[in-house]
Amino acid sequence: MRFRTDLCNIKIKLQSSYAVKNTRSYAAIAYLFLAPALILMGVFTFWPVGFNTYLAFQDYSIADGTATWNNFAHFKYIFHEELFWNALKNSLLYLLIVPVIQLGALVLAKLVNNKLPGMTFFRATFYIPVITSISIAGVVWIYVYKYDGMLTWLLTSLGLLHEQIDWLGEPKIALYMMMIFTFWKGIGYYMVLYLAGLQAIPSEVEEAAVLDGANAWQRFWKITVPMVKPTILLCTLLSTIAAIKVMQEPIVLTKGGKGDTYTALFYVYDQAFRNFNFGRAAAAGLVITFFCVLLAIIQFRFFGEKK
Amino acid sequence: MASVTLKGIKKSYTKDVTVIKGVDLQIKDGEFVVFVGPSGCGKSTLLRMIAGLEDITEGELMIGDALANDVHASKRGIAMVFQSYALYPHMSVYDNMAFSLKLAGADKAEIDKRVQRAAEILQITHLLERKPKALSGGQRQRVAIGRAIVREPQVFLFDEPLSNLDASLRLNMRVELSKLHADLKTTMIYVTHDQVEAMTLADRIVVFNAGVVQQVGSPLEMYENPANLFVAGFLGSPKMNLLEAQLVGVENGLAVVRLPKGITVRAAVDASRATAGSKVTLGVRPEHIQLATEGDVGIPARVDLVEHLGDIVLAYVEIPGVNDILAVKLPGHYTNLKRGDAVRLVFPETSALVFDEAGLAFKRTV
Amino acid sequence: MAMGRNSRRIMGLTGHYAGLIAFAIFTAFPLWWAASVGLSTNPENMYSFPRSFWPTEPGLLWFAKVFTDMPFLTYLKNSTIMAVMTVVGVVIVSVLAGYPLARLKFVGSKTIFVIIILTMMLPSEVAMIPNFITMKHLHLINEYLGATVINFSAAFGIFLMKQAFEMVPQDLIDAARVDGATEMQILWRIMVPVSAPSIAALGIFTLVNAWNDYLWPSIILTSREKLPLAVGVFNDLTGPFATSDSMVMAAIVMTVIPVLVFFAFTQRYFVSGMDGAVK
Repeated sequence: MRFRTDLCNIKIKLQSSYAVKNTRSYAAIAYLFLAPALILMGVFTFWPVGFNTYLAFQDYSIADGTATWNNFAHFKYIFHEELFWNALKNSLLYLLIVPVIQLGALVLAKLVNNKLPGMTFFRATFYIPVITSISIAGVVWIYVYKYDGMLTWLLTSLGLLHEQIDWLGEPKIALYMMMIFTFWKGIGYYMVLYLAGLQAIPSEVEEAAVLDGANAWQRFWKITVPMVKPTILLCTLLSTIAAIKVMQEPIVLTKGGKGDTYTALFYVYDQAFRNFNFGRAAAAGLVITFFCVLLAIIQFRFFGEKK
Repeated sequence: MASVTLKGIKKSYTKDVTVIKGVDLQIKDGEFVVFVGPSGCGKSTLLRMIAGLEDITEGELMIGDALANDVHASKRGIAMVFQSYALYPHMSVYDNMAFSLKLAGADKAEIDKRVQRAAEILQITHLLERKPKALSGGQRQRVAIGRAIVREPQVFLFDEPLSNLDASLRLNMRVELSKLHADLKTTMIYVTHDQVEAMTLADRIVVFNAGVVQQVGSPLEMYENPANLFVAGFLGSPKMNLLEAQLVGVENGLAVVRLPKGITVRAAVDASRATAGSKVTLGVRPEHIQLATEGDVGIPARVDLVEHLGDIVLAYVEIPGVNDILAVKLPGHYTNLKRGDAVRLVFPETSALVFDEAGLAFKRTV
Repeated sequence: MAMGRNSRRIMGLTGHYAGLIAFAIFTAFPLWWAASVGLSTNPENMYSFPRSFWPTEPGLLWFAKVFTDMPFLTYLKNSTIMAVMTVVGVVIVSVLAGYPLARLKFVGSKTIFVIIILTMMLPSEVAMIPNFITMKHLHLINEYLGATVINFSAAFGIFLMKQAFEMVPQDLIDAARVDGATEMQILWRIMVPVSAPSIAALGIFTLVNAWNDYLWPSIILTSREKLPLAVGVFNDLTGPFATSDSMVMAAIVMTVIPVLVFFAFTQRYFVSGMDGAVK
């Protein structure tokens, strides 16, 4: 009896390995195809995370490549540094831009998603900031924000302002000025994604809503928004990540100012490539990575529920 | 050309989900076999297993004399025509048909010869340079068949190839497929849910339900002698009338069954293996029910609805006390039949069937 | 009645276009201003608004000077080489990785996909320090490959290709298998041509990003002869090589225009190829 069951077990095992044989040969091919992507990611994405973790606990000299354990000195330092906390706070404040840019991009996509004349022109025009390198765009925007620049001129000539303001030099407003720049730079990108989402909606749905007597406002909120929900979720995710990772804006616009426009990653950049303190930069980077992963988990939960 | 043999074929996705529950089947060389059944019955899965597109969980598949379980799809000597045609949209018709030969490394002259020949058979020579996008549904269908022909396979597999065509085109292609089979004499396995295609094309029909073969046989044999209630109800249009009844007994070699309200019907079947009083089902095809003329005895009924189809008249009638509506197929000259008419029905005993409690048919005695 | 409907329609259209035009001004004014400054042979009005939105003594002087006083053609060549390298790298890596994730059943596919998507959340900028050290070991400092290779394996590209490949009908793949195609042949001879719009979108998207990539090239490329436009033009205004502002504005315009023209011609492809990503 015992013998029989054993035989049965063997038979079952044989059969199941038999069944997955094809599947297993696909696995080899699958990993072969994935190899370039995974190797490159391993070297340039995952290895740095590991190496950063190591560096964060060391005094590292890039000149001779020596590293010595320093008993959390970097962490102790940044935890007591106001500049770091300020940078972290600024990065979180930057999340305010997400809903604004998303709503703006969706409205814009709606405005250009039709067959009226000139739409190609408008789409291309709205995309100019996206296809302009941030360094080059920054050069021009410095002239927008200079104390005698375009913004001062515009508000003065509209009678809203009676003095000259150095928009990027005022600690209270500089960060928000940077956000306007980010809005300008990024809205076209999300517009294109929404455009793709909108074009996937069959026009009959909108026509049916017109027949049902919905006005443009109602159609936007009751038809368009629910139907592009997947796109909204994707874009919100992308833009949240982008907002928390802002660093090039301060590099090209303010060089950090007096500390008021430091973002978390700009702090890392600043420590690494201006102070050449790689260990401290890595420690700060680790703290920020932790925040990003936390945010990612929250968003994935959110995404998971919606889908 | 080759035979196809299935021995104890099973397909499971997980331990609990089994979609093919052990199929044994012998398909002879040159035979045209149609798998038919409702959607989800496993017929397409079985075809894909024969093609090599799905793993076989258990059992043996022989194509010709060779075990084919582990042979790659392209090496089994089969060719498949897909429901969606699956034409490569970026290739011309010529390249679509030549693709498999190119992959196999055939030389240009050979490829050209085979493609031209297949194109001639299907009369699509003038379409060879076009892209699939520029073809009509029927033309795409021909290209899909052409792609199969150039491979000179031992077995053709068709997965609902006509279901994307409109009705008249479907009729044409059906006739052409029959001709093609007569010309090529290759083994063909054809999956459909359309019983008319099954009846008209097949040498033998295999009826599937829920992953199990219900019956195998020639079209007429299946129609005349369905093995069980499923097959009886599946083949034929309108479908066979099935009435719940009770077995009274066997009389002079005839089974006597009682419908509600004491109506008795006789059927020329051997019901000796069932006990009197057991529940049975009486089956009568719509074309076998007759209207009683003056003097005949018959079951009184009332006409509910009449459909005049020109060549025939379909009447739906209700027997008082019997819940089901019966379909009756009458010759076209019954033009004055109308709703509410009282009629009397005759169930000829030689064409009535009886099924036992488990749904299996009793053998006919005539 | 008909008049009323017509005039309502005209009013709606006017509002529609007014919104579009207002936003177009918002997005286009910096480029417009740069163009106007670049076209002014006399730079005296450069910073007096609104006068500077119209060229003073228009001429192509500064545009001509871009070619003589600035290594513009070198920058242009470098940008082109690096952009093409990146597009080729990204498309090959993404196509290869997208196919098994979309169409092959294998152990670990879900986990790998989630890991790849998770890399989008990681602040890649933090990786610059270790990557710089890695590049030093690989002797890729001041090399085109060093400036581009870190972008080859991008979560977005893999995601986009996975979505695109998922939309290809299964029958097409089965037909190719029956026809005797290997997985590699299925990928390059069936999946890739069929998914051309999505690949084009990925290519355009990558090209634009690579063209404008600033930070990493500015770190890894140490000699001026290797700099792309985005870095070179920026350095020439702000860095030790600072030259005339007017000339830099002309250079900026010439940097943006090729990409803009490219996008205007390809935007149709771009939008239709993206729909896989947003469904």
